[in-house]
Amino acid sequence: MSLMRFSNDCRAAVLLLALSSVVSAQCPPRPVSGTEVQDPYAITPQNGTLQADFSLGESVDQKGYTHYCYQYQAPSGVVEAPTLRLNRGDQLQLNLADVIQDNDASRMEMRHAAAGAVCGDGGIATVSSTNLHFHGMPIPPVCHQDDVIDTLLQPGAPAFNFNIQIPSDTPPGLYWYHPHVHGFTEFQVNGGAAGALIVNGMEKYRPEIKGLKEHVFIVRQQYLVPWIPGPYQLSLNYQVSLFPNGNSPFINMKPGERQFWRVANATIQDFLPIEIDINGKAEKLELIALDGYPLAKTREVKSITIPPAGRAEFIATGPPAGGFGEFVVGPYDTGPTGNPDLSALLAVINPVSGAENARPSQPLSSDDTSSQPAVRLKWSDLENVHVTTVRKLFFSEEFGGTNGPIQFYITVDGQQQKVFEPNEKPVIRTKVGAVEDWTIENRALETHAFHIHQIHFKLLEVDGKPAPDGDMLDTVTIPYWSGKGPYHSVKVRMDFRDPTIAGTFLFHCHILLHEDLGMMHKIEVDP
Amino acid sequence: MTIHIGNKPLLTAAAVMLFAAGCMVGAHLRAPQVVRAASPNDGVVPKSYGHLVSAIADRIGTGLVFEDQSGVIRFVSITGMKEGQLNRYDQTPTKGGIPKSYGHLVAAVVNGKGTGLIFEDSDGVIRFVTITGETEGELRRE
Repeated sequence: MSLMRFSNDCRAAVLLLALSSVVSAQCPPRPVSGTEVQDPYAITPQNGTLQADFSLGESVDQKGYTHYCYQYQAPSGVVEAPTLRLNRGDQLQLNLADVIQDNDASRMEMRHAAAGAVCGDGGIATVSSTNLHFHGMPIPPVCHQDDVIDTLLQPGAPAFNFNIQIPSDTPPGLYWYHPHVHGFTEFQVNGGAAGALIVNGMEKYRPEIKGLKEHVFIVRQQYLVPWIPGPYQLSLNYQVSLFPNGNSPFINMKPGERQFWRVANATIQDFLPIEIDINGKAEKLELIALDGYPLAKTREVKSITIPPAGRAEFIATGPPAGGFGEFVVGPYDTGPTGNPDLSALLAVINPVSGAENARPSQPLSSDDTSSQPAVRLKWSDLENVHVTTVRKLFFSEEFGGTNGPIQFYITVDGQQQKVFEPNEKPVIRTKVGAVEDWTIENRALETHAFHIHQIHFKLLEVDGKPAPDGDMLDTVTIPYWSGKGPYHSVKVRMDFRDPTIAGTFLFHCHILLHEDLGMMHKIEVDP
Repeated sequence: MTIHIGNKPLLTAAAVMLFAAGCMVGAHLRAPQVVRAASPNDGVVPKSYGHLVSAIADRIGTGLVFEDQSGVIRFVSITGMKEGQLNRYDQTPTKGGIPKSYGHLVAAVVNGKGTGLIFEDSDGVIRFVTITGETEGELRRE
C-alpha cells in the first residue's frame, strides 16, 4: 500500500476521531415561529484561511417534516448552515462528514454507474449520500473543489475535505452552498440543506451600503412529501411563517431605517417576487446586486423576482414610526403544467426605536481590508469581446404513456432529446478562450430556471429584444410557452476564457425536481 | 501464573486496533461500485410497503400509495422511487403522521389544494385528512 493510499484510507480513523465532538445525526431545533428573525451564524477567516468542520445530519420533526442540516460547532453550541464569509484570495478549508443514519428512506437508490473518476467515497447514490456545490463561485470543477459529477460522500464515511482558494477577481456578493447529488438534490435542499457564502468587498463597488446594517436572509421551502401535490411552507432563516393561521416571524428596524439586505432563494422550485410593503403599499427597493454580482448602478424597483437559486442584494427601508411593514412574496404564474407558487408573508417588519440586530456592513476586522483596491470586476468586458461560437438550446417536457413519468429535457438544438445520465459524455465541448452566445428557449408549458456552474453569463436579450440592463447572472428565468405563438427565450453570453474553470461541469434547470430527473447535461471545457 | 498488564499498554493496543479498523473502513468505502443504468420504469417496490391502496397524479406522473400492516403510508413514484412516508401514532405525534385510530387508508385524491387521504375506521367512520395530518371532516355511519 502506497503512503498516499494509506493516508487516504486512514481518513476514516483520523477524521472520525477529530470530528467526534461535532458529529450528530440529529438536527438542532429550528427557530420558533413568531420570534425575531436571526441572521445565520457567520464564520470568518483567520489569517487568510477559513477552516470549518460541517456534518450533514437528518432528522424528522414533530410534524413529520424531514430536516437535512449542516451542523457546525460554534462556541455557543451547534448551529445550522452558518454563513461562510470570505475575502478574495482567502482559502476555504471545509471538512464535510455525512452522518445521516441509515433509515427506511435511504432505500431510495439511484442505480447509476459511476461517472468516471471516483472522488470521495464512490458507491451508489442514495438519498443519504451527499456532496457540495458552491453555487455561483468561479472556482475549478475538480475534486475537492466544485466537482459534483464524480464527488459522492456516503453516510458514516470519514469527512471529506474541500480546499478552495477564492479567486482574487471573484465578484463580491452573496453566493450559496448546497448538496448536488443527482437524483436526490431536491430531498436534501427541501429539508433545509443550504447556506450562504459571502465574498466580502461589496462596499467598494456600491459605496452606498457603507454604514448600513446588514441582514442575510435565506428563503427555504419545504414540502412534507416533495413529489406529492400538497401545501408547502416557506421559511426565513428557518423560521416558518404560519400566517394566516399563526404567528409570523418579525424583523425589527428603526423607524425609516435603511438596511442592506442580502436575500438568497434557496427554495426547491419557488420563483419569488419579493416586496416590502409599508402600510400596505410596495416600498422602493434599491437593488445593488444580482446573483452576487454588483450592478453597474443602483436600480430602484418595487419588486424583485428571484428565480430558484438566485440572489438579490438591496437596500430596504423600514416603516415609519407608527407604521407597519411586511416582507412578502407575491404569487407567480409558472404555467399550465407548472407548480403553484403562492403569495406568502415572510415576516412582519416592526418599527422599533433602538433596534439593534444586524451586523454593520462595514468590514469587520476579518473582512476584506479597505487597503485592497477595487479591482476591475470579472466579466465586465463581456459586451465587446469577440464571440467564437453561437448555440441554441431548449427546455422541453414529454409525458410518457398514460401514466408517465414526465421526462424533463434540456437539449442542444440538433441533438437528440435525452435525460441526464451521470456517465454520459458532455453534450457541449468547447475550449478555454471561447466566448459563446447561447439562445435558450422554453418549449414546455411550465417556467424553467437555467443555471450553469463555474461562470456567470451576461443577459443579452429576452424574447429577441435587447435586455436593457445586461445583468450578469448565474440563473435566469425563461417563462413557459402558452401553447401558441413563439417560445419565450433568452440570449446569454458565456465566457470560458478563465483557464481555471477548465474541466467538465453542469448546466441545468434549477427547479430541483427537474434537475434530479435529468433536465441537466455536461459541458466540457478543454484546456 | 498471572500476567499483569498495566492500563497504558491496553489503551495503546485499543487505539491501534481502532485506528486499523478505521483504515479498513476507509479502504472499503473508497471502492467504487459500478452498476447498470436503470430505465425510468425499472424500479422495485419492497413487499414490506404493504398493499397498494391508491394511485394519484404526482409531480412526475402517476404516484402509488401503499399502506403496510402497521398503517404506515408510503408514496412511491412510477419510477420506483420512494417519495416519502406518513407515520401512524397512538396518542401524540412525535414525527407527524396520522392517528392509528383512523383505521385503514382507503383512497387518496389530488384536488386543487393538494393531496387528500380518506380513512375508514373499524366503526365505518370515514375521515378526510390532509397529508400534513389535519382532519378536514368526517362522515359517521348509522
